[in-house]
Amino acid sequence: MDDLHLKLADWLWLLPLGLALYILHLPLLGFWRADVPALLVLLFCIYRPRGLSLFAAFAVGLLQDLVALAPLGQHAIGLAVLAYLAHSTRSWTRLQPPLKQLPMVFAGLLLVELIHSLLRFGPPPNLDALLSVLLACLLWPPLVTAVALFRRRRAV
Amino acid sequence: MNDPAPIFKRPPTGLRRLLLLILLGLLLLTAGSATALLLPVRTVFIDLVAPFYHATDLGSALTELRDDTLLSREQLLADRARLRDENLILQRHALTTASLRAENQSLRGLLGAAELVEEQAMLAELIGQPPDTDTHRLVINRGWRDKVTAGQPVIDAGGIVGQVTVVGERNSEIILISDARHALPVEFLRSGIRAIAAGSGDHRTLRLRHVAPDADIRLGDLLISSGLGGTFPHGYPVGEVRSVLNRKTSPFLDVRIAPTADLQGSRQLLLLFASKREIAPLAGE
Repeated sequence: MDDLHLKLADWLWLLPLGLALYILHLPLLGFWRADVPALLVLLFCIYRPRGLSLFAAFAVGLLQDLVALAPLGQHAIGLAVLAYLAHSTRSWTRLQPPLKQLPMVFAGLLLVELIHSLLRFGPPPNLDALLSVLLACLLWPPLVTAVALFRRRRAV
Repeated sequence: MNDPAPIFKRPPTGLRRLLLLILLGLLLLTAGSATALLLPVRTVFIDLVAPFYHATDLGSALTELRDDTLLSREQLLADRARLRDENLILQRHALTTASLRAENQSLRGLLGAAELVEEQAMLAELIGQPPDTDTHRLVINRGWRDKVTAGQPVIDAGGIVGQVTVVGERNSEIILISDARHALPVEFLRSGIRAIAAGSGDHRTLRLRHVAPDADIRLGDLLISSGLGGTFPHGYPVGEVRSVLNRKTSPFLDVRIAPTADLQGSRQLLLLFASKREIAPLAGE
């Protein structure tokens, strides 16, 4: 039974990612769409006990490409690069308070936007894209606090 | 005893994995844009993704439900009066069109044109629009069960919207004329000049390619589909000239067009089916 719980817990990260994809596609949000899937990939890479593998991040990106009718590989490459950066800085980032992590989060999400623009042969990210990155950064401290609370409750 | 140092320094495992994934992603991007290898995946997925778009469209569904159920009697009467007026005007247009069509048919017969292409239309409803502002694509609720085919033109009440790119069983994906990867042949209604209207990546703007600086173009000129290439039928409105710039750095005019179709707001679309029919030669020929 415990094994089953562990196996289920291994796949639980897919639920918030599904929810993030859903939020991203809500038509009411207009241009104020934060790249929540990228934010969650970053969060899982840093705070999930075993992280999130590059292949899993790539697969999430492929799913995002298929759902968003985008060319296959566009989001996948961006999320794989983001996951690699998160893994490289994981031990340092985890020691910092959420507010001090913000520059790294901003840089990571902006890099994802730049990769998307580059792969589309399009212009660099416009003001809307920058605003959505900033909005995603604002979501970071509450998310990290929620993860910390969740882990504390599980530990108790 | 220590192992000897490797002759060639290998990158760390994570970096190798990342490089492998980037290569895989680039291969997928190339295969998707240059070949039709990934089309079967898209075809299957367009039907899988449709319920997801339905679920995310709850806001619009609720607004429609509110409009359907909470309208006051005065609003309904006003709507009925407006629709009655519109219907009268449209009936008059239909009569004029019918006589013009008959005249056109007989003229074609006189000219010896072998066939006349008529369009039949099927109503399709918009299911969803991807969140990416650079992806000018839509999902509609018609697929190969409804005899939809790739390349089929799509219009709304204002003019040409785009064309079908991926056809699933019950749903299809269409590319808008404003997509940066789309272009269609057009002609000016007033002067007859032909050009190519390319998408700009902005829903409100198309650009004309390779227009000579001495071309007779005025602000407000209407552009219609020229029918060249065979994808879009002749005569459907595409856009109006919004600005004309003669830049010294370019040998061509920079002409910007405002699409006549409502590319962001239309929920009801029409799929055009071409049906060719022979014209009987006129009596006495």
